[in-house]
Amino acid sequence: MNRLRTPALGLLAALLLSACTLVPTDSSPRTVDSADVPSGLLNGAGTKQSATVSLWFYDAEQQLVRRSVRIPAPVTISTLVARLALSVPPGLSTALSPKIAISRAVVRGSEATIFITAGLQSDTTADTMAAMEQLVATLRDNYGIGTLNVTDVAHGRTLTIDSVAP
Amino acid sequence: MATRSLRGRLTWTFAVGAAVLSTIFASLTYFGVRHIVVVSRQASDLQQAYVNAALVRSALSQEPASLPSLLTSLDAATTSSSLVRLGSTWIEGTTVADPETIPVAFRGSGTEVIRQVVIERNIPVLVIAVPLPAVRATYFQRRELADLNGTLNRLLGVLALGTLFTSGLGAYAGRRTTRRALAPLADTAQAARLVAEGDLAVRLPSDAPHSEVATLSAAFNEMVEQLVRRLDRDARFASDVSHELRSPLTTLAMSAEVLRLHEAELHPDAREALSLLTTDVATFQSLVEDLLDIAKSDAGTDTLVSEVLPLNELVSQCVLSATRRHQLPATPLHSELTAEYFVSVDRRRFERVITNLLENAYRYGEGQVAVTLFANDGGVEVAIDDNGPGIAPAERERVFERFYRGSVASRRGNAHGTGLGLALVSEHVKRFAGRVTITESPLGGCRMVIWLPIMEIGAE
Repeated sequence: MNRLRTPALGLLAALLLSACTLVPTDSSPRTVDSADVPSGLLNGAGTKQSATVSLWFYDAEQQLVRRSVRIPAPVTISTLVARLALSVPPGLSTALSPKIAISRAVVRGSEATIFITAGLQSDTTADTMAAMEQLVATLRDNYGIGTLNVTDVAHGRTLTIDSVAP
Repeated sequence: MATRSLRGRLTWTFAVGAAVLSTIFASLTYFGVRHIVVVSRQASDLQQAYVNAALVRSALSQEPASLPSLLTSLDAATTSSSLVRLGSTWIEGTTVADPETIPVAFRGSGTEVIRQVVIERNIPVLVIAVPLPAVRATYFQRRELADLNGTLNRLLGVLALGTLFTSGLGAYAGRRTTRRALAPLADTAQAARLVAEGDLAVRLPSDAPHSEVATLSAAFNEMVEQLVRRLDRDARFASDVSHELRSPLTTLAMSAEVLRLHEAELHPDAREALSLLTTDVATFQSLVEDLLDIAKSDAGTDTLVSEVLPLNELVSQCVLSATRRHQLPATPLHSELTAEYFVSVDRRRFERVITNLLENAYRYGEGQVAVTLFANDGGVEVAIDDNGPGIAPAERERVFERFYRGSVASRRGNAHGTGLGLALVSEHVKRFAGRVTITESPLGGCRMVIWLPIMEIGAE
């Protein structure tokens, strides 16, 4: 009798265990054979080398002015911020510190959240707000951002600014 | 655990067998269905991810600013959530999908499409990463599989119920099947019980030729036939031997009696030898008489002469006769009967019964013996008490077996008992439709109780 009982209990236990994870989980990522992927999706044909973007800087009257420039693709928020901080056209200025560093940026619909790890002052000064306005204007043009959340990782604060059409 | 009956074990085997089989089938069904459902869902999600990735690539190459709205519309159109990674920038649709939930292995700049099912808050989520080298981006699609879990849960429940139902059905089928299959076995057991109780006329029906049951019945019947033949042969042998021995024994006894008449003239040693001879010849005669009686009873050749007699008078005469013939001490007889009761017995055999019991009482008791009459259990009882060591409860049935000598008799080395006296008592009382039992005596020893049915006057 025990010879029958043991496999029966084993099967029941297996069934119950399998029920704990109804949909089997993959312990490691599975790659899909490239041959099964629709043609062209994985190749680099038609790779865009550069793109034209809009960058906003301050003029002598501290007004924001737009400049269009071509930059290497892909256009990321980090690229845009680096351009704003480091590649200031003659006669214009920037409110962003050259030391500014972004760890991650997330765009969700018309709202963006960027995580800045360095380059922001600890108190909310006029310079900080000017930098925020410069950022949101640039992101509005390139990503359609309406609201910008800046998470200052170094100082543990989050600043929010809505873009206003110039 | 208590030992189960054969039927119980077979029923349990049926139930376990049904449970094992249905569990196997349920497991195969479950795993098969799960595989098909999961694989087809993953395949359709993969196709959806390719379509979405192509749209994302197109948007990124033509108008990057339109990507957030594209992802929002993709999320709205499907039940998945989309993310695009451009370097350190993550672009999402409206569905909240924390980039942190993307498996670390997916976040590198891979060149192959990767998929993985991960568990988030106890919900399985299928994550697909499609690299888009043309725009240096990666498209991620997340799809919660909670609905799939629900479907599989329901399937599991239905299969578990089915397994339980099948097991119950197996137990029921086993119960019914074994009842029919084991019926001949029960009949055989009952027949064997009757044979053990002495009913040698019992036979099993063998109306199903060429079946296993018929084989069993034939073997059983053959065994009983052999037993009957053997018993007949033994009974005839005992009867013949006893009969042949009776005549020379009578001669021996008479010769010894003649010698006893001249006992005074004998040398003391010869007198002692004569005494031993007389005692042993008497014991031998008693044994032969008992054997003859039993042999006749076994062979069914003895004739029972039943008479309806008043119990009081019958027992009184038997006690008196036994004490005189066997030189026993006077035995008090006490009756607690409130009326005259009649019993149907063979007087000669009843006297033999009383004599045997009285002899035993005096032989193994310490000299105090009493006979009492009672009314009990719809009949009358004759109780013979002694003040001896009694008989242990474990031996009270065995002392009625032929040639069985109880521990007390063996301990005392009593050579006078033949080992047949109580067996004869039991045989005779059974033929009177009565029974004989042993209990504790108020005198401190053993009480032999003969129960007999009461006969109405005129009835026999």
